[in-house]
Amino acid sequence: MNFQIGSALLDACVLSLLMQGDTYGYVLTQEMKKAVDISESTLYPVLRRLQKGGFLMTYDKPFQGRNRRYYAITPQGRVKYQEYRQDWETYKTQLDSIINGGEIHE
Amino acid sequence: MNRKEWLKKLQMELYRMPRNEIDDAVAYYSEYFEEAGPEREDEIIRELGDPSKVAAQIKADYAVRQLDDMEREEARGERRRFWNRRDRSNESWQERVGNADYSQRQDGWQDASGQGYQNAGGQGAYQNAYQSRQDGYRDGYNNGYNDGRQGGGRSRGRVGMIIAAIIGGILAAPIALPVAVVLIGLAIGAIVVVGAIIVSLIAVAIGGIIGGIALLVSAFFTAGTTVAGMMVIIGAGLALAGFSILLGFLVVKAAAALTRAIARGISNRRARKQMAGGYNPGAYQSEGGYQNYSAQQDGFTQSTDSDGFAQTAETENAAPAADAEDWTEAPKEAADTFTAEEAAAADIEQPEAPADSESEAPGLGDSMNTDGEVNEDAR
Repeated sequence: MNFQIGSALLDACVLSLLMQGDTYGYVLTQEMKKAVDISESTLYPVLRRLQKGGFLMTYDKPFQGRNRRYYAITPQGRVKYQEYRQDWETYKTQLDSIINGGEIHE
Repeated sequence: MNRKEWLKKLQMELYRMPRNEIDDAVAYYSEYFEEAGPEREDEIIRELGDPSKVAAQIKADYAVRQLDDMEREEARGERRRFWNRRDRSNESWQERVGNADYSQRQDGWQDASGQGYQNAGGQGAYQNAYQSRQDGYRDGYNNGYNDGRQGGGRSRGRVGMIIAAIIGGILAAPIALPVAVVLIGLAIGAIVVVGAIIVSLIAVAIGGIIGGIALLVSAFFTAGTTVAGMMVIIGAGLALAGFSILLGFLVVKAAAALTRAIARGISNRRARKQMAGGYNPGAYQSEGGYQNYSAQQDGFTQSTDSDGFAQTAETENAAPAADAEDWTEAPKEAADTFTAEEAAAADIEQPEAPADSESEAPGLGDSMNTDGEVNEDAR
């Protein structure tokens, strides 16, 4: 896989996953790794940034004697997710038009 | 290296960050290890890599967030002043508060590097984006920040600058010292003169009051004057006393205003220095932290000389501080009002820790069995 995933796309993926339900960091990373080749340490800055931006919030839930930090999407995050969806559609088609049959317009 | 050592090293590398940032990061990775389980510990350590690398990532992200916050505060302050000057129209809070800003900035980020973070060549995309963004940042704020930056830029050569200053000071001493003495003398003289003027004016006022009262009293005790004469003297005494009281009152008020202005001038200067200091978290110092980003698969960090970034970041930090006078007061209120407005207008409720999230949310929530193992098939 030659293509690296940029920061905005990572944000979009995390928000999309959280739209499906609250989850915690380990599961988020494992889910992401199914789709994208990322390192275990990639998600932490992303989650932190999204949290500071107000797009997700966290809460702790004890589990088997330890603490699990769950991430949940906020209303602001849902709005952002919709934006990302639209952007992604545009981005996909634009890239596609070049990679699969790019023309040079004089 | 085992998990405890790894976490300990991570914490050490982060030691200059704010306490809550360090704690959150350590808690996150600590929890990560626990979720993976002891059998995967070595594998995880291998995949995570060197803790200093991970720490560098965290510090870089924090630095960018700080810059974004500063940028937003500045824009918010300006926007608020703008809106205060005209009637508030019915524009939505989103436009005002700048949710749009966030996506614009993301776009700008993408544009700035020409290719966002993705880089087919795989070299230095992050660094490019940062550099371009720094350039854009600098260009955008050139007006306000030129003076500040020239005057107050802090770079890595700070120690060198101090040494140069000391040597320069010693060399210039023969001329500099007498000049300094003269200037100090002038300053003291000016203060003393102003003080003397104020004191003498007050003395005149007091004298006038006493004289006026004396005149007033004397009118009753001098014999051989007509009633009209007495009236004149009484009137003169009252007038003298009255004017003197007025004079004294004005002088005292003026003196108070003067002292207040001087005090504000001093505190502003100190506030500026604090701003410069406060926005320069230890994470910016490049001695140990930013070295050796190595290329990772996710393209998030790239192998470059990241000291350049730290340097520009520090200069950028100092620059806005020079403009602190404009926005030290505004953004505090702005921050309070806007968060209240935001919360009200956008109806952001904090969802209660949903005890039932696992039952109502499909997908990831349901994919876990009660003992927490991820059920691969559920998706």
